[in-house]
Amino acid sequence: MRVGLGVSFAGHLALISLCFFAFPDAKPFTVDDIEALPVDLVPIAEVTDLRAGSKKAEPKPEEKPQPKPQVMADLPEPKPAEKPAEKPVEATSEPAPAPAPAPEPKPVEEEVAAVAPEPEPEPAPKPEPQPEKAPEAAATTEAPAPESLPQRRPTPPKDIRPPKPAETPAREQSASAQAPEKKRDFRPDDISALLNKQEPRGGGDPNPAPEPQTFGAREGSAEAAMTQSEIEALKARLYQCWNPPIGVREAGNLRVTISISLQPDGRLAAPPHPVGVGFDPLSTIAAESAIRAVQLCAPYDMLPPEKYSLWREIEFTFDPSEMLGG
Amino acid sequence: MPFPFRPTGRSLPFLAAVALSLMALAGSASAQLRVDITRGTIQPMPIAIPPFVGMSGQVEELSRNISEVITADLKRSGLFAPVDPAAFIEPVIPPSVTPNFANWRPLNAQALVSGQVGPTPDGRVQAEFRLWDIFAGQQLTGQQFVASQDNWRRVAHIIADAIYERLTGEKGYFDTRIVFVDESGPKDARVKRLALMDQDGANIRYLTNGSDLVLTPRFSPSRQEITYAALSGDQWQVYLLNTENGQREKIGNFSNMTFSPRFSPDGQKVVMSLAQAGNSNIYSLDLRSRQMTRLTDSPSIDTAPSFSPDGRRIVFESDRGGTQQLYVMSAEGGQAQRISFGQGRYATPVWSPRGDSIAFTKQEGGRFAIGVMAPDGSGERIITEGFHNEGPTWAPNGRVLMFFRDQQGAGGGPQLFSVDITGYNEQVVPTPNFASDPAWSPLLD
Repeated sequence: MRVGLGVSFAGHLALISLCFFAFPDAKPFTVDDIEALPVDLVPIAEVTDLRAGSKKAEPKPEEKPQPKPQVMADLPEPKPAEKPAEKPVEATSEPAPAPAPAPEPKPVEEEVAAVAPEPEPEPAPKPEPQPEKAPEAAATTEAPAPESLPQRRPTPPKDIRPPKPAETPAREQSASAQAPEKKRDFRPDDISALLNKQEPRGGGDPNPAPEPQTFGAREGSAEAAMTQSEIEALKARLYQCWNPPIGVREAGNLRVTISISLQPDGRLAAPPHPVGVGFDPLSTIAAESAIRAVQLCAPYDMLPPEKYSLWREIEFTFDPSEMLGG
Repeated sequence: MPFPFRPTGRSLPFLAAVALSLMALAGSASAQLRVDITRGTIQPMPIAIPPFVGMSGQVEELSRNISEVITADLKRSGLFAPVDPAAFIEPVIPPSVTPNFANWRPLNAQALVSGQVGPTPDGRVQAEFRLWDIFAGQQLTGQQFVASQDNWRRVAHIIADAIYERLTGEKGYFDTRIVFVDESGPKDARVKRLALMDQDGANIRYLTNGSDLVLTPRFSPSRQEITYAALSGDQWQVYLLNTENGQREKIGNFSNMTFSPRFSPDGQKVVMSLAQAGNSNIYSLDLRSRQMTRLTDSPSIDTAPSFSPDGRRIVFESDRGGTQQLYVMSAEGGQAQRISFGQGRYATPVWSPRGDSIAFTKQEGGRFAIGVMAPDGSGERIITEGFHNEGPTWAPNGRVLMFFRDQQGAGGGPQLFSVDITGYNEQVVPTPNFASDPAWSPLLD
């Protein structure tokens, strides 16, 4: 009996895992969610989480998360326009390749890699704490950059560039000081750990979520999947940006997949790139139009910052087949 | 992920949990958010076309004209929205220099055309252009042409075609011509002349002098040749006319009334209908052997034949079923299959050069509509409707239809219109007089 059970279990497990690994792209899992209206129950939990967090919170996270970095991000581009072409290009490309830029990030990079490979950004809080907490770690390395910048323009821009590198150190410090476990939460492996923890409770626990004592940073709930309405908002934006060329529309089944990686503030971290696109002219044109759409839509500031780990990498599949005759 | 593999009764729930978490892991194995984008917003693509650079004083005006014609072509297509040059930060850019894309992004333009025109030692002009993707910051295509100064409009159209094709994935249709029947004079004594013009209405010239009644001019799909029917005296004749050298040839002299000759895709045959004793049948005429082959044999009126682009089938109109409907048969004749089943009467079917649809005129309740349907009769769609619309003809890329519309009233007359097959972007085609029965040429060589 035991043997039979074991064999049966092993067999089922093998079958299930085979299904998942052998057919990762099986249709049913990408069931089109157009029908799903944004009727989410999730937001309530998020609100309660927020309150609980803000009560305990230290003064530190005064958040105006998205808007700030964004506005500032926009600023540098127009300004350099007075001068030559290179500057704006630099401006855009600099922030993009997070690991690449030569001077500033490097020192940080090591730390990042060592401690928190998948940081949960919380972009906004960081810039502010930075002066208070981060200075020791980051200031030394960043010193050159902020100094050179302020001469050209007011203080705010100073923060723009640093925020990226600065964020992580700041986080590390606070994180490592207070709750090393939290870091683990960001690893995919630990999803299962979380599940296992909750198991013994019997599953019926009505309020398990508030427990993780975060400083208003709702990292516990961040592990939840993107809600339907968040994804719908993202799609709605893309629908606005995508202008499929007629040749592609008529071809009907010409799908292209574009992969992008984003910064915590929703800007593109690198130029978008097509995934497995053919070389014929029509495929090229389809991919170009999709890439244009993805670029037009940036920054993706409609995405919830606390779920950065979930949308850091996005794969868009552009499928014009439904638009035929339109 | 190590886990104890001891399937005891107690550990079963645990194992199930492990299996579940494994599934969750597998699901998120790629750790990427995947989003399907199935809709878009179809809108004209903003494109910036600064004036081409003239490399010397004598071609300065020419270079500006070329960029204007390109702009007009792209705009008329309805698929592009040229940015107002007044907004340009950088007014002129030579194609030899990579543009400063930062100057163009604020205009919301997605593509940029830079070009220049210069004289060649032998007195002709050389035009060069590059098409840039402003977002990607890279060149999409670039070409150069040498042509005589008189041909500058064609150079502009060819460049516009190249831009159109590169950005839409469809062949362009700007370097083409239209043949039509020019109608002048009072309504009861119209003079009808065969006229030829560029697709945008420029370079008009007359091919006949108006002494004969001319009808149904049709372009050969493969060369710059026209066939048309003319009534001189009481004789109906079918002519072949080369638009390049003006050579005219009579290919048939028919005592009976002849209608709507039309070329086969290879230009070797002409199909037409001949009226005989109250009914009319379809014939095919081999242009080389001059041999006539009868394709239909019915006691009804079969007319307006049009070949499919592969030359294997013919669509035509017939009243054999009681009312005027569309039928498809083999190019050799034989059994015909009815494809139109809607209300009203269907006439003048024209097979698209792409092969995927058939345009037609439909008459219902005193109104005339132009529509398209698939060759099997499915997906019928009305594109334009009104008091009198007639004579659809396809642009060589199968994206645009031209037709003529008659205005009501004593002072009214027929006028040419073009419309996208989506039904959008209907535009008047400028002609000096009234105009009817247009036929679109293939792309010029």
